[in-house]
Amino acid sequence: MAKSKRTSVDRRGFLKGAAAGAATLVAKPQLAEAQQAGTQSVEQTAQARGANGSAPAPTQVALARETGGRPAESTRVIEHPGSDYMVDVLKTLDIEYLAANPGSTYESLHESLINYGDNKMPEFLTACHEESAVAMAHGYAKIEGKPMMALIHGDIGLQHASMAIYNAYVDRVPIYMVVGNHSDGARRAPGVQSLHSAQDLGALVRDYTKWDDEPLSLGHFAESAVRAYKIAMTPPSGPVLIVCNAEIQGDPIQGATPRIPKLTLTTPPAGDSAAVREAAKLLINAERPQIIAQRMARTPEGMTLLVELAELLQAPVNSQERMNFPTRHPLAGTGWVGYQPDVTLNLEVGDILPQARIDRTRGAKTIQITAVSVSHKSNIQDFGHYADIDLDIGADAQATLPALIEEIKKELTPDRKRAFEERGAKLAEAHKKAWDDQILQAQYGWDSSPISLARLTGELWPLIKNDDWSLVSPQGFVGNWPTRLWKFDKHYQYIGGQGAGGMGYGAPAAVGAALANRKHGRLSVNIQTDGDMNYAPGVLWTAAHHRIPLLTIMHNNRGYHQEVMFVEEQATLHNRGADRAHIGTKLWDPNIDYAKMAQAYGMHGEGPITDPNDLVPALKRGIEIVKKGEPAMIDVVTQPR
Amino acid sequence: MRIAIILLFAAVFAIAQSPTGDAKHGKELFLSYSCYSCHSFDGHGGAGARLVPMPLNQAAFIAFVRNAGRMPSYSSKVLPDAQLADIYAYIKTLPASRDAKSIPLIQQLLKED
Repeated sequence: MAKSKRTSVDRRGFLKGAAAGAATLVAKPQLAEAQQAGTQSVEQTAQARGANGSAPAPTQVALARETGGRPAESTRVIEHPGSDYMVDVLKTLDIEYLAANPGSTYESLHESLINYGDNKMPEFLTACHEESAVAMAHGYAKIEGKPMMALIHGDIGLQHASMAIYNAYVDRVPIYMVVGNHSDGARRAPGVQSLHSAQDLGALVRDYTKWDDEPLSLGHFAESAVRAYKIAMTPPSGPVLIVCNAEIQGDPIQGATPRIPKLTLTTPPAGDSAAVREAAKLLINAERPQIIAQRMARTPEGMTLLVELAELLQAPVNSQERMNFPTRHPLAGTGWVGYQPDVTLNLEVGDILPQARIDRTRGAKTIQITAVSVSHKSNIQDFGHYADIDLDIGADAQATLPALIEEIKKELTPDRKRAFEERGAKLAEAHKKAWDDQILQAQYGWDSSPISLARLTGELWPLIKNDDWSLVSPQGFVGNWPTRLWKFDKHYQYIGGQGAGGMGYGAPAAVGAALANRKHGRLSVNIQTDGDMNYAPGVLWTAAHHRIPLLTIMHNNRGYHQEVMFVEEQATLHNRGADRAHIGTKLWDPNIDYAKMAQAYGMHGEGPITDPNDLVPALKRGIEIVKKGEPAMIDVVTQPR
Repeated sequence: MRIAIILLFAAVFAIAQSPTGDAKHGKELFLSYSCYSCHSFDGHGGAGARLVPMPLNQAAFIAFVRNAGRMPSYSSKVLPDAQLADIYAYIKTLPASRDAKSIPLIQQLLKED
């Protein structure tokens, strides 16, 4: 990928040329003077910045620094650039961190953030890829419940970031993006400044960005910056984007600075009272209600409310995608064998069709509560199929639960309460049996090499369970063994999946989540798939550089395992041999040495671990390092799934 | 249910008299056909079913693979009976897992609230 920020130039050659041209430079007006006067031509700008947009010709100060001379003081000074004011605005938004891969479209803001803003609130984190920057913000928000910032360079950076933005959009996660742009065609240089700019930059990702704007003045920036935060946080949350013109960043502030508007978050939309009453009646009268919660618990309060609702109804809770419900609660699960729900309450469930279809087949009722119902876009099909449902409440589920709980309490009769208690006892018994059965499944392949995922996950549990731990990785590709063996009862103990299923999310989201966990002193654990790791492994360096404590355990099955299975299936469907299914799907020959990869990026790395008896000592060493505040990686060669 | 019908079919028609397979060649096929990708390298299951201990006789195993249901079905053109017999012979050499009672960590997990 061509991403020419500034073409590198051999230093000796550069200085030689620079010295030879010094007299000319001294004789000509400085670029800054011309800029301040607003009189420079495109040609002058191009000459000063380098004909291809590469390194600008050296100033007298730079020349003196390099050649030992003592030049006159430069007159090119902009002491109060617009970007200083932008930092003032950003500081009102309580943003702790920003992740960025550096680029010239936001260089003025970059400098203001680290010097004028003292690199605090937000603190600058160096990312090696824009997708990593946004995915880090994704993981951070899932732990902290508020946005982190991603600072992005022009159209090339935004295109790099686009997959991570889409994941966050589908996952309903707030991310605060600022993207630099050389918007003024008369002032930008030819070459890369043009190549990296766009007429409507937000259009590149608008289909899966909740809101975007391109302010035309500092006052406009302040208003849009505050509005963007507010929109990102209003359920359904999502990524927002402010295009930040290089000219507005770099030009001096003229006169008094505009007022910074006050941020007041919008309260989440709660369900219509009549609809909530109807939902309560359906649930009270149900013989076998079921609750499915997907992206429901936005905060720990969401978990508390769902436990209250489930216990009130004595209904089973099938929790997905988020830490909505404690895994060892007697009501966790899908009920006893043969439990056929007659009413299903879906809370922020993405594609409701499969469940609604089952419900209709057996004459059961389907209730849906989701804020996504009132915020659809057209192009991206993340809304799924149209589903026939009986009661559709267009509201944030977490915000609606208090009213639903109150309605149920109000309408609940002693007879129904007795029936609920009987049901609850049966559900608790079924939960215990299902739980024990899942644990017993771990015995299969316990001594295998490559190491089974059950063994990996099981051996890890006693080493972390007495710490304040947090699983900062998805579980689908590791057979969901963590929720099958561990006890999850806190909101931050699981961050869920990618959102849109885009690979490359796992490693950076884990680093972002671990960053959020750091100040709470939590032990962050990432069971990392190998395919995902290789999208942008530079995020390991980000973790090492910024001292982000994170234990990464490679689930190294040496392939894009799911795709192996898919290709096999296609081969048999086409009545051809599956003995070539490894072509295009395996990551072997040569095997990737993740321990060395980790070491190269500056962190502890060991492995590959192939003998299960070597697992615990390696994990203990990794945990010890992480507890000292550093990242560590243990490469474990694993069974495919 | 499906397996039961297949087993019955196999017993009635005495297909069980098929020749014994070559386990060494079966291992090669097990690996080259990526059987391990769903069933794990030593047959203890994963995305797919556990293969050890193998509950089917050879004939029933072949019949199942021909019309597998959830698993992709392999025709005789793709994997002839003789090759499936080899794979079956290899699977039969794979040792069963240790019993959960002999794994202290699993016993500990069962005791946790």
